Amino acid sequence: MTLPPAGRRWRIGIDVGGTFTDLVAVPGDGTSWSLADAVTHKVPSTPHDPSEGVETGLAQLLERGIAVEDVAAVAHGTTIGLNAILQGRVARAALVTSAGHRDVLQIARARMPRSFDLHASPGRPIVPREHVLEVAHRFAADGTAVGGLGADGVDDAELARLVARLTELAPEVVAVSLVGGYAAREAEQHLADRLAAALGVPVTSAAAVWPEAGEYERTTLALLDAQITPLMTGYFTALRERLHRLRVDARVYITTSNGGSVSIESAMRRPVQTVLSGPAGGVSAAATAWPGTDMVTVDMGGTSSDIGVLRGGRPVLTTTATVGPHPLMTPVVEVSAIGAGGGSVISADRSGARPVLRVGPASVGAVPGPAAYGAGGTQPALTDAYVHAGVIDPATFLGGTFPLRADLATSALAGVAEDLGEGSADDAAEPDGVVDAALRVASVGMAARLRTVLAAHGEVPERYTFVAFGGAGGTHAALLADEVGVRRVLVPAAAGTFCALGAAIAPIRRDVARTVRTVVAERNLDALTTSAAELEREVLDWLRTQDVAATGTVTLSADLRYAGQPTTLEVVLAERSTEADPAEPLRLAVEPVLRRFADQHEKVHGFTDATAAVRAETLRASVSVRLGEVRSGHGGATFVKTGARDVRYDGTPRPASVHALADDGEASVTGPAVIEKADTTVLVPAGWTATTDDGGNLHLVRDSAGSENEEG
Amino acid sequence: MLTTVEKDVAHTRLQAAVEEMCLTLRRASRSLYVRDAADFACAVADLSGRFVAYPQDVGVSGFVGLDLTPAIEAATAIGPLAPGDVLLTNDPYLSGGLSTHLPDVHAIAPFFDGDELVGYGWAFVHVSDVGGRVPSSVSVLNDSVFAEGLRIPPLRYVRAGTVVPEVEAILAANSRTPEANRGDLHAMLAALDTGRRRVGELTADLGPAGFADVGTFAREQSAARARSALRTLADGTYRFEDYLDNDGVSSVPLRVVVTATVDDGAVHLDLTGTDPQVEAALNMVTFGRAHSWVVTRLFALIGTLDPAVPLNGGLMDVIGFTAPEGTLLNATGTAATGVRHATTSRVNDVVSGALVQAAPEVLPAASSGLVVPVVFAAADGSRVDVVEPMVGGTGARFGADGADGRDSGISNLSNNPVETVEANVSVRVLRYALRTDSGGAGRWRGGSGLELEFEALTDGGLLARGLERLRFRPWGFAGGRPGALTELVVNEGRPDERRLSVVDVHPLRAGDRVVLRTSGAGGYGDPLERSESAVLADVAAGLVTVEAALEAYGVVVRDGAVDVAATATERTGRSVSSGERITRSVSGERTGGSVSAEWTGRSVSAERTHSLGPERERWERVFPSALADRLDVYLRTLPTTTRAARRREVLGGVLAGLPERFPGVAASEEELVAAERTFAEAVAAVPGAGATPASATA
Repeated sequence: MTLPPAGRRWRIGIDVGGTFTDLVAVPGDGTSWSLADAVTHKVPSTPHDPSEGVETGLAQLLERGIAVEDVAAVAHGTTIGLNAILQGRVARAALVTSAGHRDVLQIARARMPRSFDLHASPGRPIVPREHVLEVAHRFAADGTAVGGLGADGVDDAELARLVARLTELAPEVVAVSLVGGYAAREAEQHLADRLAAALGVPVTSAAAVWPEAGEYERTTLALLDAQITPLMTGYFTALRERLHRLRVDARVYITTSNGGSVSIESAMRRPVQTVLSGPAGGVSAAATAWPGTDMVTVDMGGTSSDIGVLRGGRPVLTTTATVGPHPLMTPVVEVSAIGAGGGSVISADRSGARPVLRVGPASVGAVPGPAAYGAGGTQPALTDAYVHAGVIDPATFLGGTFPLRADLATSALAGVAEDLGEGSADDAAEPDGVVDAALRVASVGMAARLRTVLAAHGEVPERYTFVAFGGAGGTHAALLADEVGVRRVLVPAAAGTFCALGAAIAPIRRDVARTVRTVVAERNLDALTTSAAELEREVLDWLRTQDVAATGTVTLSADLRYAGQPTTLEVVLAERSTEADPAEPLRLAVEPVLRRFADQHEKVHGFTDATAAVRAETLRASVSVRLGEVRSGHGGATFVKTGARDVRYDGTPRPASVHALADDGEASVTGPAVIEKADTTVLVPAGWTATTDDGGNLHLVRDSAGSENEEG
Repeated sequence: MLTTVEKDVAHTRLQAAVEEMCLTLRRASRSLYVRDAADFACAVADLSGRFVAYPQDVGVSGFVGLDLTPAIEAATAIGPLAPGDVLLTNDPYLSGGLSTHLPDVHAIAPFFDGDELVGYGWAFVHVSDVGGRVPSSVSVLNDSVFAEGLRIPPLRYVRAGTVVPEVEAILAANSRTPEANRGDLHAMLAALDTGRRRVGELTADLGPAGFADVGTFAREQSAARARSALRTLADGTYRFEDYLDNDGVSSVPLRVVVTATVDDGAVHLDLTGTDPQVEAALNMVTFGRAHSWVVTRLFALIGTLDPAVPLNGGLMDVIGFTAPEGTLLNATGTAATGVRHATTSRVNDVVSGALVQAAPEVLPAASSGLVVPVVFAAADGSRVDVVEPMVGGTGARFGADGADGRDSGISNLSNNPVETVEANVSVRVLRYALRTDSGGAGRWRGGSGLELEFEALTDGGLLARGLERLRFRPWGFAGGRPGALTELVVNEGRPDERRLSVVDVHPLRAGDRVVLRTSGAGGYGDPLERSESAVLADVAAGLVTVEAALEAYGVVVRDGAVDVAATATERTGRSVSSGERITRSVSGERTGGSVSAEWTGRSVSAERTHSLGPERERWERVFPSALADRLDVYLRTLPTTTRAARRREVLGGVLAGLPERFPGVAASEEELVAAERTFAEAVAAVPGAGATPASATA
């Protein structure tokens, strides 16, 4: 890899994974650049203190020729909040809620995880019942206080009683979430402030975190935020100290679950916004690298494959994501697991009338890993199937740094053939048969889930481009594409460090929301406009604290529904530049909003209702500032043939050419072929053609795609 | 001939197809039932009429075992099915048991490969209203299917791809919500189109014969897995019975009886002895065949033992069923069926009660056993809103407490956020919480019931269909105690307090307060064997009071800690626990089928294993099983429509000599002796009383 040019300003993205900490430096001076300009680096992760690996990696990256004073910004994605929640290593919290609603966490939304399971258990609530205290305060839907409120909202005797009981419980953090609190933010905050003053521990008001109706979801969000605050504050403080030691005094940004990033100060104040940032990173990278394109990201790692959806280059967000069993009502990038990863176990399932082959859900894990790793593993994984099939060359795996044992892969596969036994003598009695079946079972299983995920949005896969990354993404993507009728696959240059790239180039972004519950009509327009303008001011005020020079966009939107309808659709009300003249007041108009809602409703639900009133439930504002542009054009890099071997990916051995990226070679490669890169192996099946661009990205196109081959 | 791999991946594709159908339906629908309650489903059947692929986790799971054949035969009797046809039906009788009550509208589309019929797409939706006496069509007080709305026999709603306008006109004219219904029906058509397209892609690859192979393969795989799961149950014959609070038209309870025979991985349920069909909407139409909706507890058992079993019609291969004509579970003629979920909920309890004897470490004690959508209706009838769909908890089982305040036994419903309710309905929710001291005590505690208290902010009406367990407790097992009874009270503690047991539409004034406390689930094992720390944890959490800890568990809690010495005295001081005896008998029973005879008699099984609670013990002292069985044999000799009234007459005569709220209150010994005699004499006087109860017709 070439040394970076001196004197350039850099943004450094850092993604801490379970095994490796990935670092990517990209030009950070706001100019357009190509992915080939990115400098990548990888160091082992340090789970006991992830900031240690960050420091080591950053120091090594700087040694490769990036002057410390040229670092414009460091953007960091971390999963420590997520892991703390999943493993229950969180601060001891108490919850204060309204009288009669102590079981808001225990009852939750009342559903059991499975219907046909007599042993189903809803799991333990996020805070045990004995740490939930009731207070008389609560509010009606319009924010008026009902039940035991003094003039300033807090009754002294009630407060004293509450403080006494909280002191007894001695929690490390407290959340206050009152019924109706979303409509009475100041009153709830006032109670939280008085409790904090009396107790001397952090007290979070749920309405301050996210003032949207839905007491269970809002309470959970506030508790998650409160519970990880001490840990995250400690981590971010340590991180800042380590950066300081390296004399990096650049701004530090933390990636967030909505596909954006925020200043480290913002992240410390509201750490819950970071918990699902990991999977969002890859989706966010695709959004920046190929704006305007309809894409499905396929991140195929060791244990599973995850997909994200981008419509017109915008990540599809969801407000129904979960962290373990806990709901997250804030908008986050929707990422769904669709099936097997490279480490998924291939096995014979003998539970039915006839034995059948399964891929996953168990994984061989990093240790011992697939049989071919030669680390003692005897269960074959999907990676072993790639090796036996000739798709992965044992000698050149990961650029030859990690030689594999094909014989071990084959004998492990033979074990499965034996397990399948008589019953399957017709199709999978040999390792070859097992490989054919495993690739097909994995592809069809992933295809089925992918179709279902898209169907939930009213979409079908055919018009999407796959963006494949993760260790096995490029290996399996074209097979999956063939299964679902996708005709274009992109394998990004930095496929192995794509999430770190996502951190480096994620826009600065913040979402806010407020329940409004208003009929969209002329008579309510002033009130709606006032609320929207307040939300706009909130995100713009926030943006000023983020220290970014570039201009961005504020998107104002509303969750709308026909009166009496159970579900809402988010409809954009207005998009405004962050540089809009503050004196220029926000103007909304009823008619275009109703028309947009009707159009969207027709598309998603297949009907409109001109007679029904349209209600706005929740108003939303989102500010997003993009940091520079990624250039991506055809031409430039080429392929050279490095060999030939037989590969089998569809039940028949096929002679395939093997290629690497190099200067002055062929412009394209026609399948069946294999393209070997340092971080992944890309299979080009028959009927597909691969080209590359000046960013080092691979473009696989199914031949029948005709004239639609141009990428965005 | 397809290889196993080809059949398996084809089935995966078919599975994705039915899930895509469901998502298509949900997107296109506009009714609360579909979006919120997920009261819909889609599937694909092969020519057997049984489903070969069924959604694993979208929509209603309980219809996986439906058989399309009778409905299809009824339609083809009029003329052959052609490509582009879609059948519609909602009538339990005319559809051969496909639909279980009129609001469930089912659609069937034949799928063709060229001219050759290969299978069927299926969808159903609980539509908002199909006419009838009351808004939303369902009330327990409906006395015949004619009061429940429009009956649609299997007919062509779509012919050659075009909706038949005359049919659409009749449907629209017979609903209070014609537009919403039309939206739901068209949503089903969209789902069937999706299914037709995906099955078309499959048959293009596989051909009709290949598609048939895939169906057979999938059903055989699931049947084999179900069989291996059920083989873990001890072979034998097990009997259990339980009660519905009343028959809808009087205070006389209804008895549900099952005799379950487990034999090498197959289970036969014989419902003989269950009471005659009634003149209220509690009846279930099965035509005497194993009906999916009646055997969901067995699906749940299979799913517990083999969580990954693919859902399809193959599950029915291991299930047998008997129910005599004219009874609650094989209603005939024109009996009303709207609230059949209350009855099938009790079937779940008796199936559990029987099979817990065959697998005491797998099946739980009784769950709370009720689903009550608590509804507030505006005084002018302009709005009808669910405040909360109320359930209770799940029963305790060997090794684990039950779940508090949640139960997916009949349907896995979501609740409504209180903040959404208060924004849309004229009520203030004062309390929505777990109910203290409601879960049956046991070594493992039964799940707590729920408590919902709300204040009406305007005048209006209260509806609460499916209200159950006000009179007979959810039973405990192996020494575990039964759960607390349901209570529904208006203005509790005020001079105008009203305690309600049957609700059609109960008027409310602004300021009235309604509290519903749902029953707790049954406990498992001797409460004296519950660990002190578990009792203390329940006390600390406030789910068990200090008083109940002492009374039920013999644990003395003082100042937030267990008084170890006082507890030891308390626990050892109590008489030899029945739990010990039960533990022995349970483990002896599990050795095999040879002891089954001992377990078929109520006197052995019910007393030694299930704790039924004082109400039921009082009831059964007066109306013992053996006599009730004999009465049932006689009732079945009468014309179907007269049986319920005759039974009411016989039992009513006995109850006349007992306190009004019996068995909720104790009667004097003299009253009991007299009542026992009256009933025995009444049974002895019926023709053919000497015959043995025909519970073993299987």
